[in-house]
Amino acid sequence: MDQFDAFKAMGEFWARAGTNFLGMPGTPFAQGAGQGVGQGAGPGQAMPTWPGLQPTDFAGLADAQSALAMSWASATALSTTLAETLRGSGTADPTATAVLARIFDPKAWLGGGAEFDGGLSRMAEGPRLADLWTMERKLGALSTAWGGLQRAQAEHNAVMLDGWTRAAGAFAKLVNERTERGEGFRSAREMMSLWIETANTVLLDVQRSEAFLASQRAMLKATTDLRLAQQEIAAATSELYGQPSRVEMDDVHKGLTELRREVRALRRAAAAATKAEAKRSEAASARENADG
Amino acid sequence: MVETAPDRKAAAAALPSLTPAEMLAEVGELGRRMSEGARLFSEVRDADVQIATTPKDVVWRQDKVTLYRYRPLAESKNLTPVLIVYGLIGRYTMADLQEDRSLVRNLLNLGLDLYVVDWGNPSRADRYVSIDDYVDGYLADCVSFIADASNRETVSLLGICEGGVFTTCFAALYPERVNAMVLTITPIDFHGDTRESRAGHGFINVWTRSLTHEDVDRLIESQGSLPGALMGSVFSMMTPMRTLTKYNLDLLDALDDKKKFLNFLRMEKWIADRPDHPGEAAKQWLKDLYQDNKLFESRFELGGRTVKLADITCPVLNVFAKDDHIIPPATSQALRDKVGTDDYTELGLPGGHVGVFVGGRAQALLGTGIAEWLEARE
Repeated sequence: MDQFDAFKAMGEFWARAGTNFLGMPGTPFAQGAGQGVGQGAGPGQAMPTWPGLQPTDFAGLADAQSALAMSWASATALSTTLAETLRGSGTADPTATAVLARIFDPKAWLGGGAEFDGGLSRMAEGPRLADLWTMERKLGALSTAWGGLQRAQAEHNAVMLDGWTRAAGAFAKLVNERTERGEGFRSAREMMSLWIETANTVLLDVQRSEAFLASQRAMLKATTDLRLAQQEIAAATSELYGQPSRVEMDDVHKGLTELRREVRALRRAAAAATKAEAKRSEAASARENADG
Repeated sequence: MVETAPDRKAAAAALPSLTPAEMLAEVGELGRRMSEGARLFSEVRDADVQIATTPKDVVWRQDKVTLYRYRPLAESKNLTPVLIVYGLIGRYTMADLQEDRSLVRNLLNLGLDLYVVDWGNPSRADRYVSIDDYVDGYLADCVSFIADASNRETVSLLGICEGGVFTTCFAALYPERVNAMVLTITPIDFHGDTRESRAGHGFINVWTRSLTHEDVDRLIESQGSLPGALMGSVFSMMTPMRTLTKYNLDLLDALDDKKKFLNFLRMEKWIADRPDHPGEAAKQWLKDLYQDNKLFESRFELGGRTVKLADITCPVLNVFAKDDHIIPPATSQALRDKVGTDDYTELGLPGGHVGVFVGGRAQALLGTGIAEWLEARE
């Protein structure tokens, strides 16, 4: 690995970390990979369609995506400026440019796209069952739930992008102040440390905001709704093919848990009876010995 | 919500830059580190990153729950046996991460007779297992087993985090069966975070309170459990930029030192082992405790009985981490005015939630502090 490959690898490391971050509830954008802002094209791209989907199912989604698109445009412009200026004039090093672009890429705060392995995204995954077109009502509900999740994602992404813009602005202000004092960065690492520290402070603040908590709750709710809609279809399919459904399995597990409680109680009662009997025998033996 | 956008032109004009030579020098250093890292990765074997290696034996098992007894590492002091109880979020292996960072080893080296309960890997099939089952069922049976095996009436309990809540409930419901109780990083007043306003502290409390009961019910209905991955994500959110830099900058820093690198991997191994939390128990944890604060208000019910903190009559040692962002100290220290014993001691240690167990200074203080306190309560 030569030096340039190493530097590129660092950029990849950075991007991967951002991707991983996405899988968490704070940034649960991964469901529907390829449809969110994290998937390269940015917000506002064409939404995939589902058979039987009515436009009215997505009231508000267009507004949410429009707001997100504006935040996105602002954040990406700022990101480009930061990366270009930190690269420095005249260096024209394409590798360094690419790495800096990655480090200051607001997508790292949003969605990772294809590699989603975190909490909510995993929860929302499930059988697509795209071939079951006969179950229109259930599929309609599924489509609505999917649309709800997309909308919630867009609204949450907008909150996160606002946060990124605040962080980038605070960072630029700090850098300006350093420059005015005649201080430069001794290393790229020092510059990154300042960015990390600044961004962390802003992120912690964002996470406590009502907007963040509300949009995240909406994400969780939308993810749950989608999951339940998927399970409705799975249950109908199970019934169709004579397979046990989730509800039936839950019933069995509930019964098993209750039986285990009863067995535990019986075991305890038996053990207590044995102990009591042993004590009585012991006492009786002691009396016999005393009498004898 | 959107603050004023920065003046991009001003920023562009003012930002200092590194020279190409400086940048190349850093790239060179980065390349060296990554080469070293590649070599380290190729050399690492599973055995190098084993955790929870202190020798122990299975002594009891029921359903998915296993009780272990550690083999002694020093001459026994013949003290009341101690049962370590971890929670359902994460696993007890944190108390025995590696040989030189192990509360378990520290206590064994001080002559304690030590047991630990492992709750196993709950699945969707365990959706209906509740905290009642864990406290009134499995924990009670573990205590009975240890008491019988040691021919004693009581045992000492060492609860960690959610496990501390379990031991607290047990000590309140069965005071006659507990010799002494040590709590570590244990939440009691789940709204106690509101009395502290430290940045980044108590986010789980805030996050959980932002949900409704219905949100929690539907989450459990759809998942059957509180997914371990979801809780892991919430923990990651508490240190947002640390999460973003963990596998690039932090890992690169660790590559310079093999010992540091292996420590990093062992910690990652523990973090990755995050079982799902059974559904009914999760509902109680999130709704009754985090949202409604029933334990602190002595309204929490288990097995048809109300858990009253005033019923805890055994000596209590309450250990908290001064910089715990997950369980803010105030949420633990709230126990002080609630227990029904005068023999109540607090021990605040340096470090965070996990640092108390694995940090160099804190873990030494923790082991010694617990052992000496227990010995004085015989």
